[in-house]
Amino acid sequence: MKMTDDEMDALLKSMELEEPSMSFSRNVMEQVALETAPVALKTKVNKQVIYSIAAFFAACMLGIFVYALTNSSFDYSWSKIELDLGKVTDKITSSQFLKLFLMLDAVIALIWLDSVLRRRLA
Amino acid sequence: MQLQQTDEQLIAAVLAGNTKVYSELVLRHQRFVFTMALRFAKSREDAEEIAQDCFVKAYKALGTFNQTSKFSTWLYTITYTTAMSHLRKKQLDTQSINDEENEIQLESQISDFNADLAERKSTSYWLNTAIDQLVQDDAIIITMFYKGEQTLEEIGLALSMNSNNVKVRLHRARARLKEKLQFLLKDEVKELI
Repeated sequence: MKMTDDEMDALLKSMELEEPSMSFSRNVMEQVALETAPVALKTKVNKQVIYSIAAFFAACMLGIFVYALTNSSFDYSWSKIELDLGKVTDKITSSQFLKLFLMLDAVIALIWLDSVLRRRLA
Repeated sequence: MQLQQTDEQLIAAVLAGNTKVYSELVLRHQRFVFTMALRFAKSREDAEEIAQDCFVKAYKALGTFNQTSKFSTWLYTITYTTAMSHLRKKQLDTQSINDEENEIQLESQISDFNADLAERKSTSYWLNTAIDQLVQDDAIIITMFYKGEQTLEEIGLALSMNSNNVKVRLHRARARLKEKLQFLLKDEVKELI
């Protein structure tokens, strides 16, 4: 005779937990009494404070955006845009910039390697 | 009638200096922690040692509990890691056990078997026997899900697993458990329900 999934679920839900010995909690409290009393290391972060800070910054950004919109003129045409990317690319492809870029990459790679090794050794 | 304090309120009281209320937290969670420890230890003495160790560790680290998860999830994470390290230690110890000690263990196992005969027919016995035959992580997932009131995400957090992984493992573990029960009990399986 086969058992259905629902029957299996019901059986598992009806499973009883094991009971430790009568002296269990007393033994724990005796051991705990030998330890120094714990103290809160971190104050609990109040989410309301975080939300209100976020709301303040969102309101600021929205205000600036609205202010910028109301004070800007929309008679702008694309023909006025003159792009000279040559100067920008020259700056980017300079030897000093590339060295700095590679250095930054190397630092990020080392940080990542360190975190991977720490996790593996833990 | 006095309302029952939540785990968080009890923790706040302990951290405020009223350390005696920690016994309330112990009483509240001891059965589950002990059951979880028993899935690893197989002997009640060892399981009790693991469970005690867990509660002492939790007490010492109570100040670092940042309440981003349920206290039970945090406690079960400690239980899982403590039980795992106990198991590793035990495996190392068994390699150095001599023959004399093996004989003693065998005798005690036989006496345990005789003592267990009385409860062989009970649902709990067969269910626990079948769960004990599962892979340890599967047994823990089944226990945490059905008796620990933990969600898949919370189990994943405690066992350092992805919640989708937990879901798949739970499904497989349940199927395996069903097979094992059917194998153990044959046609009597329906009598369990």
